[in-house]
Amino acid sequence: MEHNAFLYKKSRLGVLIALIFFGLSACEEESDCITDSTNVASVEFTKLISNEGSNSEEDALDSTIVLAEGSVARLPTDRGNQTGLPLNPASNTSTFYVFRQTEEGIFTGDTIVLNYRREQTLISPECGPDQQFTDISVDTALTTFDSVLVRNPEVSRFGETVNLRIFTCRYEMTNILRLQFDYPEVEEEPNDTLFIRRIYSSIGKENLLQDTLIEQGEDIIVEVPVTLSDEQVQVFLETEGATPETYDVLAYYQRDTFQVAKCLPQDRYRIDSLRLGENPGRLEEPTEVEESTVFNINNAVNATVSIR
Amino acid sequence: MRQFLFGNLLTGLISLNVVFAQDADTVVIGRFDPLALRVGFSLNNVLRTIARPNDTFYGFQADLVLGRYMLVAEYGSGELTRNNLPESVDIVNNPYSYQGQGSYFRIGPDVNLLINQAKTSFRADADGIFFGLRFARGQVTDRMTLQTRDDILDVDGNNNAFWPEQTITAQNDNLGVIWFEMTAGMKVQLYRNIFLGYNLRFKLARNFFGNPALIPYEVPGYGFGQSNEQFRFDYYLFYQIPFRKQERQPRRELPFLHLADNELFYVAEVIRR
Repeated sequence: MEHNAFLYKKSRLGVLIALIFFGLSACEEESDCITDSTNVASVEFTKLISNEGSNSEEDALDSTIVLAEGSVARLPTDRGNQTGLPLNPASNTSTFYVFRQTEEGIFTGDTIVLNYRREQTLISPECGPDQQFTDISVDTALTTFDSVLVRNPEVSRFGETVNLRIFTCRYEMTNILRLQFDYPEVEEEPNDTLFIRRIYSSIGKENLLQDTLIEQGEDIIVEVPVTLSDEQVQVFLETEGATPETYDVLAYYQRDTFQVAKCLPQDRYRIDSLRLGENPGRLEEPTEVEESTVFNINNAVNATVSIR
Repeated sequence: MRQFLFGNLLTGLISLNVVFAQDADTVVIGRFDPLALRVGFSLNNVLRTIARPNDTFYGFQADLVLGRYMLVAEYGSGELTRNNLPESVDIVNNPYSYQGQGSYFRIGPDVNLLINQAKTSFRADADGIFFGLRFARGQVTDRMTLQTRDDILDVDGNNNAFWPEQTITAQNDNLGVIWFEMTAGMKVQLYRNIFLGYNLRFKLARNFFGNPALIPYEVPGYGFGQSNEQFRFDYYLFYQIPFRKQERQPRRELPFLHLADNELFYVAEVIRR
């Protein structure tokens, strides 16, 4: 077998050449100047309809004005339900004031305090410095929002997920009992009418209804506010020139608390039973209520009583 | 790029294999016999310090050769200054100044892969191709002054519409950092006890202690502070202090002929042609 001795004489030179090749390869990598850092945190406002254990998104949003502490500029909120909150690049905290027009001419003010961490880097001598905003957290002590969620704690120019989602809920649960009084027809008195002087309740002093004439076969609905502390409310109906002169309805109700995601906890009332009394006269036995018993603005009537 | 590197590595490996075969002045040694101590310094750090007036970097390495193994300790320090360049044109073109300094040490074992080529007879205290692991610990003190930038634009499309530009300073005082390295390289005896070598280092698992506000631009011994992994080279010039005389065996004629059936030899032939 033949071998070329020249190969071995050149071998050390080969090693050195290999080292030089490595040397050429060892040049430092050059950085590109692309950065996705920004000081503008994205915020999305969402308004929900909260009702009996579920919620749904509402189309109409409150008109919103956003200001920041330490700056007189007003932030644009013309991107639908999204806006950008510019974090103070010289501080780890920024405070923003959000004014929402919840009803015509009525503004609600909220204060959002954002805490975050700033991380400075030198991208390269050519590209210069960079500052990133991370670990966003929210102090919601001064807000009336139902919830403020941090969806993405890293502020990024090209982030696909908004940094914050702010939820406001329109509640459809209520503390108003809708009580319907029926005045049924009777054959003996075809043109009978009933003049109601007033209706009032044991809770609150104001009249719920006053000086109203109803014909037989008609009904009236009164809205009776209830309270957390009581478990019953008594509703009085005073007539004029009728017998009996006064009716009273004793309504027993229950209260519990429910919460749906992203909305604040809410009281839920439901009627339990009714008892109709005639004055002078006797109280009837309690009657079970068959109508929709939960106090909800979508329920026209919670309970019905007949007053003939 | 990687193909290029591994191509070079193969060429070097084969060349060194031949070198080894040529200089087969061998001694028979035990598994962990202390053979030599090599002390050296980083050539690229010296070149960098000379070439860049704003950089001062040093690196030292000591290998204790124990049979086919080497216990390696390294130490280094660095200092650099960076300022914005007048010709900077980019999206973050803000005035800044950066100063950083730090030091590091690394420790870990190397194993000489050439041993297996010659079985029982070799020169473990001479040329070598090695693979090793390192644990590294460093600390950095740095400081950067920069102008803040607000990305809210005014009607003319200029930044800082909401927050005015402000000058801020971020700094670290003795920020600790650890990392690990996998390293491979060669050491070639240039003349008597003078060696030239390089280390190809893959650095990983970089961890700063705490959450630093300022990410160091460069961690001495590691590289770019922003990167979680690094791929770097170091060149060293060593002086070897042998612990015992080499027992010279009668020089064999063309000992490389014994490698005629060796696959590496075959590859070397192919590459040469």
